[in-house]
Amino acid sequence: MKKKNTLPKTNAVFGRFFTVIITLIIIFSLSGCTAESGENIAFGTFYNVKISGAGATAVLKDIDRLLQEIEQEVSTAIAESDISKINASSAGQPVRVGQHTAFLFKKSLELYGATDRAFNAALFPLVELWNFSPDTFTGVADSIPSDTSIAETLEYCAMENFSFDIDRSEITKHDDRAKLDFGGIAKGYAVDKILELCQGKKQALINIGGNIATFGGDKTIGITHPRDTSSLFGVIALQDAAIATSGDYQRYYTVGGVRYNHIITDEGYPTGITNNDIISASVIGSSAMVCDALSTAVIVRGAAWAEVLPQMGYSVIIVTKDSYKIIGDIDFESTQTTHRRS
Amino acid sequence: MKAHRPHTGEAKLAEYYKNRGLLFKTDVIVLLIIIILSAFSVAMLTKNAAGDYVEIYYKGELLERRSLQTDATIVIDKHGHNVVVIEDAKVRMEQADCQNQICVKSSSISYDGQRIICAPNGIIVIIRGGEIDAITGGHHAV
Repeated sequence: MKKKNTLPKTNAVFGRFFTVIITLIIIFSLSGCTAESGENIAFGTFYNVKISGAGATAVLKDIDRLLQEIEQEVSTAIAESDISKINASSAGQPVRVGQHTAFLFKKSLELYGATDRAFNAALFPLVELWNFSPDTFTGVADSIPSDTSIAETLEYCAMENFSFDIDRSEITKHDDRAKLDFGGIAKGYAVDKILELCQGKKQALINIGGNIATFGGDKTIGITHPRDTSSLFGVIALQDAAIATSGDYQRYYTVGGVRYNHIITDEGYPTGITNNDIISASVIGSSAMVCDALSTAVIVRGAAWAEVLPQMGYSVIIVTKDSYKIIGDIDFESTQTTHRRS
Repeated sequence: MKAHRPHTGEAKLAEYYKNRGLLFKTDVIVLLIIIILSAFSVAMLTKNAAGDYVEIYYKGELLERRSLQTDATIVIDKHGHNVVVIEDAKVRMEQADCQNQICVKSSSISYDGQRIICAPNGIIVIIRGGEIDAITGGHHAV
């Protein structure tokens, strides 16, 4: 009689257990370590985060908490935010602020100096005068403000109208009418903070309203065509870096055939009216917050001023009505035929 | 000199492997399960490259996923009322009961990564499938 071929019982149990463990490891290595936030709303726009690496799902929950925390401090649309309290306060009345507001105030002051006042977080009264406040903007206007009202408002739109007590974490206005708005750097700041939360992971791609940062691999980023927003102007390869774009097409209205956009110069008028013909600026560098501020500053100050960006470690793609220019080291591929490279 | 004799358990195991052949029936089943699950996982990770389609989200929750190749009118009644139209492989927000109407005034979208956002109603419409990982610029939602 032929002897039955059987595995010793203990080895059989171990063999099956081992097989199950290997199966689970394979499945988790392929799918369990990648997490995506889905499409969510924050700062009045979208955010999307994709992370690869162990513990990615847990990080997404931390990100959601962080974004709510920042928005609660700096949103002009939330009545109890630090910014709303500052804007409603009287001159000489200190307002205690949270860590995000404190950090953004200090950075705004630095960038105000670095951009020769082109990035100005104290321009909010002019933004409101031109009806570009995110809380009330509709894209439609019958008229524009008078030169007199613009000149009067411009007088108190300066960061010098605010002081910050570091020890008490208090911001005090020196003019009742002065107001702050961190809309020009808050989304970029949030992207940078999320990057910190993603440290130790294999890959991440963070996108808050077009303020993008990535690490751990090459990503293909499209740049919106400023005169045909349903198509792309071109694509760039981004690796371990951030990008932010400002353009005159992002929030604008037309009065009497003239386009008025939300980026206000230090003369009190929307860009393109009195300064230069830049309609889009995409800045690439290490910090999404700085990219955010510099993209605004380039549109306000112009292409000649932008030559200084590489010295700061940043590069830029500047688009005018009929041409584009690259300053710095950028792997850019144009996908349009409307603009020539200058 | 005393010859080395294998332990009884080791001898049984050696005999087992000698007699059993290359694969056991249960081994084949386990391998097939691994291959199927692995293929499914890879498909889940790479599905965005499969083709162009549109997704509609409400506060992070996926409500709809439709092909761009099939014209459709999609009515969303969540926080508010929105009507999304797919026509000629492009997507637009046809109607919305939000106050600012920014989403309705937005251009139609067709490229991977492009979005239409109705922030007051918490609705995001996004094109997926293709080579673009993300898009910078575009309309600011309010």
